[in-house]
Amino acid sequence: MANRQPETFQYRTRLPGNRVYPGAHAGRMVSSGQLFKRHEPLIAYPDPRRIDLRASVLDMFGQYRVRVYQQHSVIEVMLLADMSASMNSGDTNKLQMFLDCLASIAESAFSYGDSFSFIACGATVEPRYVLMQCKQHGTILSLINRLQTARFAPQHPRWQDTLPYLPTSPSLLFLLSDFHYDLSILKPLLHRLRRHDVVPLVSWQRSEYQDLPEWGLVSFQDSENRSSRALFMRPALRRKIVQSFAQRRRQLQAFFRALGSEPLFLEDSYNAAQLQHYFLTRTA
Amino acid sequence: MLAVDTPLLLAGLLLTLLPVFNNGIRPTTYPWLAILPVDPLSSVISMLLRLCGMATIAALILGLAGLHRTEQSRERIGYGANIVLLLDRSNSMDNTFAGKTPEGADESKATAARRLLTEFVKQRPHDLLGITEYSTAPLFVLPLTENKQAIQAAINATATPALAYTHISKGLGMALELFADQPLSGSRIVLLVSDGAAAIDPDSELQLRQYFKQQQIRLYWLFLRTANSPGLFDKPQDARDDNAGAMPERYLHLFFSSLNIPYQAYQAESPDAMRQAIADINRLEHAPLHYRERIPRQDLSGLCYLSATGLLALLLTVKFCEVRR
Repeated sequence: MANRQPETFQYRTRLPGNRVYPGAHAGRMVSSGQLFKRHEPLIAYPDPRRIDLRASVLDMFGQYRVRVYQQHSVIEVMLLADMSASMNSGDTNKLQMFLDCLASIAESAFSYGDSFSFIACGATVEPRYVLMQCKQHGTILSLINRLQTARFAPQHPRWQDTLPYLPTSPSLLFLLSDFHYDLSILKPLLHRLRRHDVVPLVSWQRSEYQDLPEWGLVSFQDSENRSSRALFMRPALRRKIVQSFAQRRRQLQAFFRALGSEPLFLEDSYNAAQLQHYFLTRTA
Repeated sequence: MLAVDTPLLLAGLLLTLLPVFNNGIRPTTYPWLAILPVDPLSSVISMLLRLCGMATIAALILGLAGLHRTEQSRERIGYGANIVLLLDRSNSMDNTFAGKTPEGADESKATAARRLLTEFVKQRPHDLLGITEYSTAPLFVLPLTENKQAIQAAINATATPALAYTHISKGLGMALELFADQPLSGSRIVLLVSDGAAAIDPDSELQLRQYFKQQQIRLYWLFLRTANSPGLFDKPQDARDDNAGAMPERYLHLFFSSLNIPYQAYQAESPDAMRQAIADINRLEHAPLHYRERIPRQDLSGLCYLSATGLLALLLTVKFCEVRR
């Protein structure tokens, strides 16, 4: 993992950032830039290089007018990850996907010069697995190393615990989870998510619904509440399971569309091209 | 009644609770069970698997503990009688009705008796039969039993060559003894099969009279008369011969008649006459009979192991149906 160069993707945010530091994304700040925004008095923006003579002559109060441009500014990229046991159950694929996703998003953020924050939410938010406003590759690598041996809590994530860590200014927020829980536990998070540009990443494994065996007995144990159920697999039942996942997919789409974002389903493995495609086709 | 040899092992029955917690299928972790659709068939199969597991463990434990059914007796009611066959095993029984040693197709009296008694026994499924024999001394063969196989074997055993003389009083004594500790139910019959008689000494006579009275016996005497020998009902021509020594048959008959018990004598001079006599008895003796049938202890551990094997085979098959991932 650590020795592989993570794939990157290009992203853009729908919400203009309001950070003062110049960066790569259109923001609300006005200063030097390419896109003309408006005229301001010289007193407000004391930059004599940008005095617009024509505007100054036409000014009815005889003041000097200065052209100000939209400044591209940095945004904060944040990955809010579900660290419940279901994210790391069964095969090693899931953890790999989790880490790939983390590395790729961090690397992409760094390529824009944006800062990257990471919050893992399991039974609680563990400070060990929290990164705030990070800009160093090394920190990401050590976080990934720590996560490789991390214990994923066998219970649904307590999203409300992440509230103190969430940024106040509009950010690009990736929400990585399998959403294998009652969506009502996301409720405490929702009103804070509305001010951010949220990209829900749904991490599913095909082996859990599409690649189930046609025939045979199988006993499934819930990775979070440890209860188990035996199933007599047969084509009809497999079809029902696939249908129930399809229904869940529609339910998730409806839920996040109501929030103003489209969920992205990552199946089996992380692929940066999928995110790239997501951002390219996203309207607005 | 069911019982076990080692009750301590029954503590192992607690192990039957194991399948409640584990249905034996290796669990696969799954992120969220709630998303799986409800499947009644799977629940039924899972429950059956658990029950199978429980039954298997229970059967094995019961087998180990030595489950058995204790010896029991069952009260039964049949139409029949308690019959004691008192067979004469004196030398003369090995002769034919003509008094000769049997040659070729000839049938000795013993053989004829055996054959007819076999048929008689077959016709009377509910009787309790006992067999005693007598010769010089009484021979105890079989107590009163309903085991037809044993009775048949005892009758067949009379095929061995006969013994010496005829000592009827002791034989009768032993035959009556067989009824001594039996409950009074159904009619009690002594069927005396002999081809001769002997004088009964006064001591024995007194004793026999007492026994016959006490035990409420019905007596049938099947007298196989050899040709030219004195019969039961013959009167001596000479008054001097009219004594027990000279005519034991007549005197034994008189003794039996004087007992004041239901008594019937048949004097058979050929196998056919003998058959007639036996058919007669067969017809007469059909009174309701209460008796207790003993059922021996029955070991059920084999059955336990057998069912455990069957169940284990079933569970193994299920194990092979399990999905390996």
